[in-house]
Amino acid sequence: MEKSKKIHLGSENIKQLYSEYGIVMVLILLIIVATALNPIFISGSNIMNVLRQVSINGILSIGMTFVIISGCIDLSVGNVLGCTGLIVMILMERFGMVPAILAGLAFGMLVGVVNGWGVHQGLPAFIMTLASQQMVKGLGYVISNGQPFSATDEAYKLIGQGFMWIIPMPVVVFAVLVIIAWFVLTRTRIGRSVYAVGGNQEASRLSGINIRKIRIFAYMVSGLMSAVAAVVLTSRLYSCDPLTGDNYQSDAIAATVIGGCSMAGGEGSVLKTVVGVLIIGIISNILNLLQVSSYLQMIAKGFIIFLAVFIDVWKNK
Amino acid sequence: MENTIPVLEIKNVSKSFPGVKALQNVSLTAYKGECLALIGENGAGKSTLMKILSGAYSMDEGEIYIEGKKVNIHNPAEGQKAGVGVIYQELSLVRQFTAVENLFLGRWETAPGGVVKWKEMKKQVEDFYKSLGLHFNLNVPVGRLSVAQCQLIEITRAVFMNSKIIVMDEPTSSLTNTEVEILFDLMKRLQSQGITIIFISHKLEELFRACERVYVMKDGCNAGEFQLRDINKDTLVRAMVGRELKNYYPRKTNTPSDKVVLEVKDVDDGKMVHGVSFQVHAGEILGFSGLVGAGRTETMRAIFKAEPKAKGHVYIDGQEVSIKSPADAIRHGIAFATEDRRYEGLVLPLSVAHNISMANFDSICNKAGFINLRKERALAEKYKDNFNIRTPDVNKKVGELSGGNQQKVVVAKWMNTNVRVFIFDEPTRGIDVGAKAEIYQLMVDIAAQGNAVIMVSSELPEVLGVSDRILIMREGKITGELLAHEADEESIISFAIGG
Repeated sequence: MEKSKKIHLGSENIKQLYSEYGIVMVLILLIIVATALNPIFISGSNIMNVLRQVSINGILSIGMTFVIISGCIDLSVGNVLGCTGLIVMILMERFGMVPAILAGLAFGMLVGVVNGWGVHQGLPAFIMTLASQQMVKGLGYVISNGQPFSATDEAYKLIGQGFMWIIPMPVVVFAVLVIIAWFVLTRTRIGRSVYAVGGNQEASRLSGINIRKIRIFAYMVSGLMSAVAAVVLTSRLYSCDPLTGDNYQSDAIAATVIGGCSMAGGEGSVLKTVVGVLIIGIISNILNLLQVSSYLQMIAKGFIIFLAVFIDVWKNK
Repeated sequence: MENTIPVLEIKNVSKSFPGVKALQNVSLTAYKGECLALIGENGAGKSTLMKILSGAYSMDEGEIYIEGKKVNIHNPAEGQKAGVGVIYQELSLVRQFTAVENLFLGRWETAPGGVVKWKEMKKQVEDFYKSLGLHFNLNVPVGRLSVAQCQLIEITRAVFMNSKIIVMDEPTSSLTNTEVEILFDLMKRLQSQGITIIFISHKLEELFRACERVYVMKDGCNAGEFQLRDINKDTLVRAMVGRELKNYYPRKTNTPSDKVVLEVKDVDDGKMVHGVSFQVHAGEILGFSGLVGAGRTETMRAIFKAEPKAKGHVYIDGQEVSIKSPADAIRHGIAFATEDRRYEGLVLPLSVAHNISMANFDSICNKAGFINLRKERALAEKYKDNFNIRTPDVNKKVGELSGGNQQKVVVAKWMNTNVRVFIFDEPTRGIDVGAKAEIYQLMVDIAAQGNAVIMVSSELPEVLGVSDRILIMREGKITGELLAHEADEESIISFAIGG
């Protein structure tokens, strides 16, 4: 049985293999290629470097995974990150670090609640989050007057620049959030409901699932993750300006889709999203090590997004 | 008449789907200028046959001849070219385009340089409609015309594209009586122009009026051909149903008690349901019959509060309950297996186990809302065994199961709630005969446990075979009540059509 499967590698079998293990194989292949191209890649310090670089996108991608599994999309995450960063910087000066961080997290969740509410009212997710993206972006300019703000508490540096043993703190935060998100999505009723609503909203409603609650929950997680990413990033940079986080949503969506979340909803896993995050991170790392210009890197990244979605469409046919 | 020249000859056509033989050696001949009725129960193979003819499906075996020439139809474009036009229940007009644009869709006549010759095209369409004695407003998008007019435009488009054979699938289901007259009138005109019509309908009265000959299908085979003037409705129904009903429907093990489990009063959704009241007893299976569009499904959706605007009083075991959402209905013990399981019943990308648990997370969660995966798996395995759900693994995606097994998953999902009243809407639509019998057995078992069961069904044999009592609806009201042993198809139909 097993043998005949391997011999007849028809397109159906390839599809099935790909949807189960494909993305992990791509990651392994990529690591091998990267090492062959430049052996520095596999060194401990470079790997830590890659992990630290991907953790911001990784945190955003966790939130994006919730939203995409629920059958929607969130274009606002990058600008929520920027605006939250500014809010934290500005409030820190007056009220201290902890209240500032809490206010920032609350802001992120609030944007998520508004997004989820709007989508539940029937606005297309694409339009609703495009609108909130613009509003949040504008809000960032208004409160900062277009100026960069610097942090004002040395202790704040710990979150983005500190280490736990030899592991950078952003990586620790990312890893902890991945574990929590994985648990919520696979082992709790609200996580399971996110899958159900994304897979078939009408069947979920008729099975007694509160659609509005689930929509708002998924977007709220996304908003919260954006705010957490804002804290980690601004801690690392020790400052924030209105352009921080601009366009970060594209990498988050790319990582989630490369990881195998179906844009149609109902399918995906936060662990696979992590693989997607690593793939994007490793590709930019290799291109950097090979000193490819950042303009060409953009083209490469765009092509990878295309390829990932193309494969998604093909495997669902 | 010229009714002796065969236009369409279908010879020994067979077609299988995974697990189902949809057509077995079907042969059919249609003559020039006749109106041939094609009838059979749901799942008898009518639409499969017509889809093969139109090119939407390809056949496994067999041959098709049109005007004596063998044709190979592999896709709808080739079907059109061979002269077959199929009018499905859903209209396929571009709503934003005018009738002229729709009639020429995809083959607009252009002058050199690609400029569309609108004037000439409009002239042609005007002449064409004049010859048929029809009149439409050709200047507005068809979306602004009535449903009936759109239907007539759709039919005439097939004629306009030189179809020699026109297949109409339930063309009257969304038409009023006067509109039906106009349609029949058009059909007669088309016939006199030598066009052959194949007419699919469940409304037997219409067949006797509009058609000359009838071809009956049953379980993918030919179950008889008749001249309609030689026979009556009974002969037709017998040919359609004609299987041994004795072992097909399960034996009841209990008799309904006098205890009322569900009572509803004055259910009204403001559109299709007007003041419906009824009771269902413990251990009873209550059948709901009526024509499509009579408001049966809408009544059930109103009781379940699937329609937020519906009104009415619901009493369960004598207590009035307040139902504001499907979640409330489920909490009060109402289960609702909807008629469309793929769009309303199941989450196709999720596994069998996940679908079974989704209407009652309490059955697999602790108080904090954490899922116990082992408990969930055990639950799914239990239903898999009890209901004989054929799947290699309960972790398989439910979308990969056959229709009958999907329906069993739906039943399992609802049995996993604290069910008191189980509503089945068209429970056996699109599933094969063997699975049907299993679903009937499940319904009988559910009732035997002291629950109330409601079955909405358009298949009369099913209503008669399974129900204890039958309510018949027409135009949003209950128009008749019959006990199963005193009911027959004719008495039900007479209430349904209001004779």
